[in-house]
Amino acid sequence: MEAEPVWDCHVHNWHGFGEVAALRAHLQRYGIRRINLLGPLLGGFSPTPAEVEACNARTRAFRDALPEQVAAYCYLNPAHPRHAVAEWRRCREAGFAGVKLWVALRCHEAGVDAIVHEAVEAEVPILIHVWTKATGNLPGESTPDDFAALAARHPAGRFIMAHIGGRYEQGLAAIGGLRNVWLDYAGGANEAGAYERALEVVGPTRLLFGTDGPCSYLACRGRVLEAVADAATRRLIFHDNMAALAAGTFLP
Amino acid sequence: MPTTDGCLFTGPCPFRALRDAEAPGRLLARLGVGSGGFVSFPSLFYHTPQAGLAQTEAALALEGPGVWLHGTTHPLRNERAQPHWGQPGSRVRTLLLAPDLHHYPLEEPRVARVVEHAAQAGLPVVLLRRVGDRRLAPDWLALEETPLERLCQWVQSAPPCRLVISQLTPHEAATLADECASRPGLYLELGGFAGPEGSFAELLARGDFTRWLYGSGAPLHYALGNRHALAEAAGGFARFNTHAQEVYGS
Repeated sequence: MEAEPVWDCHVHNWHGFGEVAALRAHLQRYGIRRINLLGPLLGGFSPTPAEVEACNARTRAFRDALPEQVAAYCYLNPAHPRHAVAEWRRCREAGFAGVKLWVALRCHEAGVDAIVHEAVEAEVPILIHVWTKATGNLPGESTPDDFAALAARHPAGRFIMAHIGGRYEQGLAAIGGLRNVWLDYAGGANEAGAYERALEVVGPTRLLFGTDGPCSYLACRGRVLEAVADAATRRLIFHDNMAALAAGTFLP
Repeated sequence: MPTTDGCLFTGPCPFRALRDAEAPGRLLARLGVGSGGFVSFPSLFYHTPQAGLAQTEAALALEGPGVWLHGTTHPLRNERAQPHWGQPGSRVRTLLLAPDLHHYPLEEPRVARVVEHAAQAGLPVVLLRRVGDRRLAPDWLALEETPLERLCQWVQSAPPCRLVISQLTPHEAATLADECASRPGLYLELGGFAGPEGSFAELLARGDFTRWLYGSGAPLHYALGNRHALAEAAGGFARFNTHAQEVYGS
């Protein structure tokens, strides 16, 4: 059904996608070319090293079952920085393509730096969950300002701000001027104007398509169709920007 | 395609510039919908909701007949349905309650009296569950929401009327459909919020509740994505359109 190839930069293998067969069926149903698989985030908000390893083992199993479609992202807990570095190196050896950080530690904290150094050396992106909730953030949940501080501290890093930071106005205000930042608008946030404003702030080559799957693919896809009329820009968002980021061929 | 979008917003939004918010006919055309029930932002945010509504009514004088309004009413400010609402020539087709935004409990006796009066006037009653996504609201609009259990209890005990619960998440819709299926005249609206893959299909496959309506929450929300997901789950919009005709007359 796709008019353009799709690379979904933000998918989890949990809940409805907890089994390979379900994810495979989903990818076939919508003709999705490739996904970044960010893991089932086992172990709650601050997983133990063993839980992190189990999460990545699960991601690896999916990647091995769907090697043409799945780019495996390594889930790390920066609250255990030594383990995080060791786990990344182990996963990198296994062909993981990026790093995923969630809500264990706000990303401007020093514990994240060692992970960033590893990602820079490996030339892979780091996708970070970023939100500002009117209802209050979790203690370890990164805000747009946290994310911007990290990205500014590591100009050689390639950082993906997930969800455009939740409240998109705040997310976009924080990252203005940073050239090593990409954005996804994955998940349940459905505020009209997010894509349009993001295009104004970061331009067409820094926006990625993501769903936070198993969040509804059609719901997320339709936002892009509604917000972006230009076919060439849609193609960049749906696929080409993530492909360039993964390949390191993006424009600096 | 949906013939009617039962929940749209119009007027100056107090916290964000919204595309076509003050051109509702253009919004309907852009969304490809013939008829839209608009909630007036002034009616939500003015001290006196019906003063804000009157201002919006006047602003829409040149709009086509597909643009109609929900009659926002604050039961604790001695407001109730106006005599011209629902009459030929009036754009106002419903009485709308926004209890969380206006900070009153549904159990307050004046709420029931306003609902009874609206029913006697032949107006459907719309309960607006929320204005946008609570998590993403400006800080001053991060409202405490009526717990779902209390909402279910109120729905089951509210005076007889055509009752619409608007801007529900799929989870909330499932709970209301389960708990309140036997309530006569209850309609539940989908389209403002999406859930996980398959959530709309699961909802619509339930045999015990069938009175679903469509409402997007545009231009506060993107409309197209959830609409596509709903259409896939429902095999089109025929059932939503039938129910919109029953409740709203379009």
